[in-house]
Order: sequence, then structure tokens, then C-alpha cells
Amino acid sequence: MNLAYEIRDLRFSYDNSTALFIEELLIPSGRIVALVGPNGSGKTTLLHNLAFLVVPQTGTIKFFGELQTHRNLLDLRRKVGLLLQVPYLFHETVLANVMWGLRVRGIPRNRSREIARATLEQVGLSGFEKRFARSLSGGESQRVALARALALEPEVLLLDEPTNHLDKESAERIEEIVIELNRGYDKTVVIATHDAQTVQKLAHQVINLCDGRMVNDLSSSSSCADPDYNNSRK
Amino acid sequence: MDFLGKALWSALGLIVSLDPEVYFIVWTSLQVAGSATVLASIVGVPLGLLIALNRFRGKSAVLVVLNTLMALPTVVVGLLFYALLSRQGPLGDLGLLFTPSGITLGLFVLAVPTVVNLSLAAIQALDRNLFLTCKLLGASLSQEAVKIVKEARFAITAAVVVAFGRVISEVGIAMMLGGNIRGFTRTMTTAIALETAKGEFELGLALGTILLSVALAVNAFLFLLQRSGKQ
Repeated sequence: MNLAYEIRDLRFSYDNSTALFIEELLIPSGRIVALVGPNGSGKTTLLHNLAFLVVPQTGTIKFFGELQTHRNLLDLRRKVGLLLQVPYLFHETVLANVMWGLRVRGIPRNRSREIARATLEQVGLSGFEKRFARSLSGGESQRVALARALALEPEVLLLDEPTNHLDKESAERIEEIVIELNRGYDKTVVIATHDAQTVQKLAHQVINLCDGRMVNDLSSSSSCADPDYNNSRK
Repeated sequence: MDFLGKALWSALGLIVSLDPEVYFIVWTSLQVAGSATVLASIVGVPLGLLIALNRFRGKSAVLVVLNTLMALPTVVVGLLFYALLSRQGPLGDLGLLFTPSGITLGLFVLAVPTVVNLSLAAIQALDRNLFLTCKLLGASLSQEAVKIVKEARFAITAAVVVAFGRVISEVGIAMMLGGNIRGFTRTMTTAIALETAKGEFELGLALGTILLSVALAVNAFLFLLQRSGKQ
């Protein structure tokens, strides 16, 4: 089994308060994994660790067999895409937003433009290239951020509650893109969500998080039952 | 009122007739204030960025000092640099006292805390997700820094304009380090002070009008820049 992530004894703290402790977590390549848990359970912290945005105080993370160190942080980060819960779009056009990650990797402007246009088409935003990114709706902004991540061809895509605050149509569009990425391009996807429908529709594997730890069943603990975990959609 | 009206009329005459002395004074003022602002921006914006993005011991003390320096009396800066640049001073050999470069140096010191403080505030007010986004898109530290400054460009431009406003309108440094030498270091503010003391209100008013016009032009430019950027 080819592993995208191999995590052992990971402990991550904010100001001496442990936010995450994972004894062992193996995420196989080419799978869609859902992270489920109430607010404050450590989903976002785990995603930030998986995106190599932070370095855990103890423990190890191996990414396709490569051990994370302080020295290879930028290299590893460039192999992963993370879609934030509330994406930040630069004060520029949609096209410039999608091109930026490519430009910082040294890809020439014309090639970056071609890739950005193709990726915008992939997420259904053809014709949006010259629009000012800050003028878009929530669903469109989320798709621009997704295109920006996909343009970089990450080996793993991490999504932090991507369908939160979106209408049904926009949420389904995001889910279709995720399915297409996984089935068509064999991409590994890790998705943090409160949405039971998203989990049922997409996930091959579910990881329950409670107070920063992995648990077998969230409903067995009253403190970890997720009040927002529901089957209804707006 | 009649006296003021006549003085204002004569002032307009001096401006319209392109009086060489008036325009030399304006040029000197713009030169020293502009150079000091550009230099303060080159130093102050990166410094503001560094302070805003890093956590370090004594950061609160640095912020308090920077806030205090924003209210630095111009005569104190003038006095300090007069002592440094005078013949007996440690920098006396540079020969900068009573030169436009000497005024620029003093104005630079006056402008730096304003640029640092307001840039810092502009960067701290940015959405924290910007910093995360830069990192997760694979930016190096320098690429991230450039992007952050670009995202805060309107507020940073405002910081630079405020600094320019402070240095072009000050009189203490220009007087003490420039010496108000006619045709060499005379600036708008020192000329206004001198001409008013001599009872030559026309020249003083003409220069005052130009000073106000410069401030208006700079602020109008900023307003248009911000409006075009937001569209």
C-alpha cells in the first residue's frame, strides 16, 4: 500500500496547550479521507500539519516516504494544496490570483497564463479571468481558490470545510470536482467537514477527531458529539 | 480684511508670474521632502513588515518607542543633528550642515517612525489568511513579503503620504540644519517664517498657498489611486 502520509506520535501545541495528539495515522495514496469532529476538535490544526504550514513539537510526518524536517518544509509544502475554510483572494483579477502560485515557482508568465486559464475552465469559471476576485460570490470565490490550488498540480489536496456557507448548487459543484480529481487523476484528498452528506458521498475513509485525538466513535462521548454534523443542506 | 485681500492678490501675482525665487524655494522644499520620504519609505516599510510579522522579546517596548517617536518635536531632531553635523560634532567632516542634504537627513529621521508605525498597523490589520495563503501557495519568505506589501499597498501609500505631509510642513529641522540660506537651503516653511517676520506677507502667503496646493495635490492623487485600485 502506497502511503501519502505516515504520521507517528505527532503532538502539536499552541502556547503550551496541546491541540493535537495523533499516535498513528496512515493515509493511503489515491483515497478520499474525511476528518469529522466538532469545532475545536483539531481538524484545522491537523490539516495545517498535513500542509506543512506548521512543524509539530514532537513526532514525525512522512509524505510519500519523505520525512518532514525544517529543511524540506518549503519543498513539501509545494507538493500539497490546501483550500482554507474562508479563502483569501488577492486584490487582483481572478486570472492573476490563479497565476501567482505558478509565478512564485518560476514558471514563465505565458505558460502560467495557459495553465491558469485551463484550471479555471476545469472548475467552471471560464470567462471569469478578468473579473476582480474580490467582487465574486462565496461559491465563486471558493472555486477560484480551488483553481489556484489545482493549478499547482498538488500530489495531495486538503480541503477545510469547503462546502460550509455555500448553497446546495455550489457545494455540489465542489464535490463533483473532488470526485473528478480523485477518480480521474488518482489524487489523494483529505477533507474536513461537518456535512454528513459530503462524507457519505465522497469519503473512502473517515477519521473522527475529539479534543485533538483520534477516536473510533464520536457519538459515544457527549463532549465530542458534533452538533453541526447534519444531513440537511441549505 | 483689506490688508489680507491685497496680500493674497499679490501672492497670486507671484505664483502666476512664475517668480524664480518662489519656484526655487518650492523646488528645494519638494526636493528635500521628497528625498527624505523616499528614503524613509525604503527603510520604514520593510522595518514595519519585520516588526509586524515577527514575535520577539521587547516588541511591546519597541511599539511604545515608535509611537513616541511619531510625536518627536522637530526642533529636537534639528538640535540633535546640529550637534552631530557641526564642525565639532562626530559627523562634522561630512560637511552636511547648512546644505539640502543635511535637511534631508533630519527630515528622514523625522519621517521614518511615521512610515514604520503606519506600515506596521496596515500589515497587522490584514486578514491572517493572507499569510497562510502565501505560505501554502509555496512562496518563499521574500516572495511572501512582497505580496503582503502589495496587498497593503493602499494603507502603506497613505502612510507615505502622511510622512510626506509631516516633513514638507515642518520648520524646525529646515531652519536649524539648513540655515535658511537664500538660493540654497531656503524652503517654503523657513521662507514663510522669515518673510512674515520681515512683514513681507505677499511672499509668505504665496508660499503658504503653494504649500496647501501641494498637500491638496498629493491627497487628491492618493484618493484617485485608491479609487482606481478598488474598482
